Amino acid sequence: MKITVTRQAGTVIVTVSGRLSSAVADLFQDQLLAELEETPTALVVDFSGLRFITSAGLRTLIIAAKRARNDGYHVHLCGMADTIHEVFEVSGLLRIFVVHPSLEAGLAAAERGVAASTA
Amino acid sequence: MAVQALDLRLAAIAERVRVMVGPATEPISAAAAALAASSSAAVIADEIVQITKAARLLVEMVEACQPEMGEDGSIETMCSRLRHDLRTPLVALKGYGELVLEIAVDEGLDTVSAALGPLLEGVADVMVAIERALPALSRAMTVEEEGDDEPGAISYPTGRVLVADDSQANRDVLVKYLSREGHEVVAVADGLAAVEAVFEQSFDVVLLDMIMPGMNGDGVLKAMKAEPRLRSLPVIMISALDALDSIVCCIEAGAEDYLPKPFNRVLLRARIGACLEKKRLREIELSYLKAMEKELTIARDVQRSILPKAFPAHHALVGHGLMDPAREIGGDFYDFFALDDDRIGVAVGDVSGKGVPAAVYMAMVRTQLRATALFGLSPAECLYRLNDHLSADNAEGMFVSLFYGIIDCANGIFTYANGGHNWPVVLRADGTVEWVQGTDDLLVGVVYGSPYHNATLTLAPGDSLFIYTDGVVEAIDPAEDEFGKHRLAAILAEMVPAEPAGLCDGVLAAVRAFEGGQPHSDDLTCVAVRFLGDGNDASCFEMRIATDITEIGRLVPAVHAYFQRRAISPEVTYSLTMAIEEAVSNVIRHGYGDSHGEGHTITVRVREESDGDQVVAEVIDDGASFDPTAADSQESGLGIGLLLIKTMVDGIEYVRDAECNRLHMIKSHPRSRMLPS
Repeated sequence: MKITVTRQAGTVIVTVSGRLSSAVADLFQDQLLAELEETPTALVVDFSGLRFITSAGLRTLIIAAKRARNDGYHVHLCGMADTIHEVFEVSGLLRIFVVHPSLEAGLAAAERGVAASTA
Repeated sequence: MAVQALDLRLAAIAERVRVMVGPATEPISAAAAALAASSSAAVIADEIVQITKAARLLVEMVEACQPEMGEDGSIETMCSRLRHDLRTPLVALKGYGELVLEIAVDEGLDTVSAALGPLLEGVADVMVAIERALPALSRAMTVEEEGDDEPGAISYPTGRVLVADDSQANRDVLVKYLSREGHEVVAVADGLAAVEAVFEQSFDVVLLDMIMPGMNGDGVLKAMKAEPRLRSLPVIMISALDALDSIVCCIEAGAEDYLPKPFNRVLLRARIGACLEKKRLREIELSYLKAMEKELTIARDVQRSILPKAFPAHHALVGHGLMDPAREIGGDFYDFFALDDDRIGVAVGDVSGKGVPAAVYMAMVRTQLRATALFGLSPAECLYRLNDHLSADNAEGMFVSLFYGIIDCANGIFTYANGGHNWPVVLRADGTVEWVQGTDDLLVGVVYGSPYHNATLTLAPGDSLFIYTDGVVEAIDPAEDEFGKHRLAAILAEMVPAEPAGLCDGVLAAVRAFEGGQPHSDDLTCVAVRFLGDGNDASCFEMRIATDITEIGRLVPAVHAYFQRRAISPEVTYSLTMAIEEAVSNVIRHGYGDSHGEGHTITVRVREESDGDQVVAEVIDDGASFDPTAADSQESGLGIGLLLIKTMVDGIEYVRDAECNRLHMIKSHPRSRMLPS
């Protein structure tokens, strides 16, 4: 797994690639949540390089979504491979996240302030 | 010629020592004399005698310096030995000097304290002079700064210390030092005695001189490290600073630390203290680990006890579940329970995370699901209520993917709801694999008030359901390739005829083989359920049991239920049940020899024939070939059982077919059969 974080104006962009397995999920959670300490205007997570995600990874995103709802911003997930998309579909998480086909689309939505969390 | 040249060199070295070190010893002699004159206090009388002796020895050694060539003929070795010898009285002077200083300060003996200053300074000067006269080639360190802080300013733990040093003076100094610190000290004079001591007695730390007769310090160290019992006993090497290379070797060989000569009290105290502290922590850690292991074992047992022991007995449905946790305890679970005579609930869940938090959450989910399900609510309603309970107060962000369904054994209709769980598989009797597509409902425990939906599918006789957690499909091989749904589908398709237990074991084995011995990171859980079918049109009963005598307790009620549904008379029910029971127990007791048929199954079928005029029971096993119709009752030792069978039924037929024994027992059914109620 590889995580990179950039900030673009108030938007936090987290790119995670490789395998987000149970073994590294804590690391992902610590890094992601640390970025949210200072409330951003939006969180964009780029999955285009991600090959695998476990429930521990989903948990981090759910926690992030809850925090986003409390702090008044949205979480945008972008660039999921079919296999990752299937995990979100099976878990029913498409009900609480809006998914964008690409990072560009996600960033554009974040800029427009489009609602990503319907829950 | 060469010998002569060497002698000249040795003489030159002796001369250097006399000229360069000799004058430096004078202040020591003067200070020792002043010290002897300054006090007659009994508490330090011994020490002052030792100081006087050491000062005299030092002067003698310098004056009479007569270096001799060592066995290896190297000047460097000779110089090293000479440095070592000259330091011996210095060690005593410094050691006793510091000890006396400490006592003098404590006792308020001011004149003594005053005399000790020049003595200790003199020792330092002589050290420098020796270094100048006999420079070490490999000298890589400077003499450690004198840094005597307040003695006892930091408190260290005490323990049993072994000191191994061939120099009487060094031993005495160390024993005095360490005893004063509160340690219990044993001193030995050579390496062999040290080995003997550590093997026979118990110590907390060992101080080993590097160079000793018989066996050197590194030899003792190696002997200790080769003995598992002594491997963790900390060893501090005592060595002159110029022997850095051998110190490095010893540290690599497992020595904890080293102590330069002459001894510095603060360093000695700190290093021994650190060793004892480390040993104490290691012991605490070990006992903590042991306690934790024990608790994990208990937790695992408790968790296993939560899982259902046996699938509810039903003539039309058989099932099996297994869970293989990744660590000692995990967050997966499965459950099955009878809701009424014909409806059986089956659940599989996977809690986020692992270890104790996941296990506690899992126990909670399982209990709440049962509490809700046993009211007979639909799966969606159960998930909805469970979700509200779990998400109402869930600061930890825990959740569970949960699949829960109810099978109606009367018609094979399976009603289910899926809270974010992997799609289960329907394995049709013809080998077709279908995915039980979800309703895309959310993981349970995430969002309060989230909706859940029921869906249904119909199982035909011979169809199986396979419900699993992601430990199956997300297992990876050494090349990080995922097991995946396609492999699961392929393996299940190959195993169509297998019993539920066979399906579960087969999938587990396939996944573990795929992982190629790599440690698995996730729990693996699966439940298989096969619908055997009956209903009003199905006139056949079939059940497979393990070759275990307790299985009869499961078989008999199922057979009875079948007879009752088919309105078979009590007489026929009684006779045929007894015949089946005798036949099956014969197979279990005698059919598999010493292996007791572990892993084998016995199939029992019952059907009506000739339009209900007769009932035929069939017992099929793959044990040793045995024809009960041909057996001599007396000789086979199966006497009474066979006799009972023959008495109870009207006809008995045996065939050996495809490596199996097939025993047909036919019972005619009197016309006075009961009418279906």
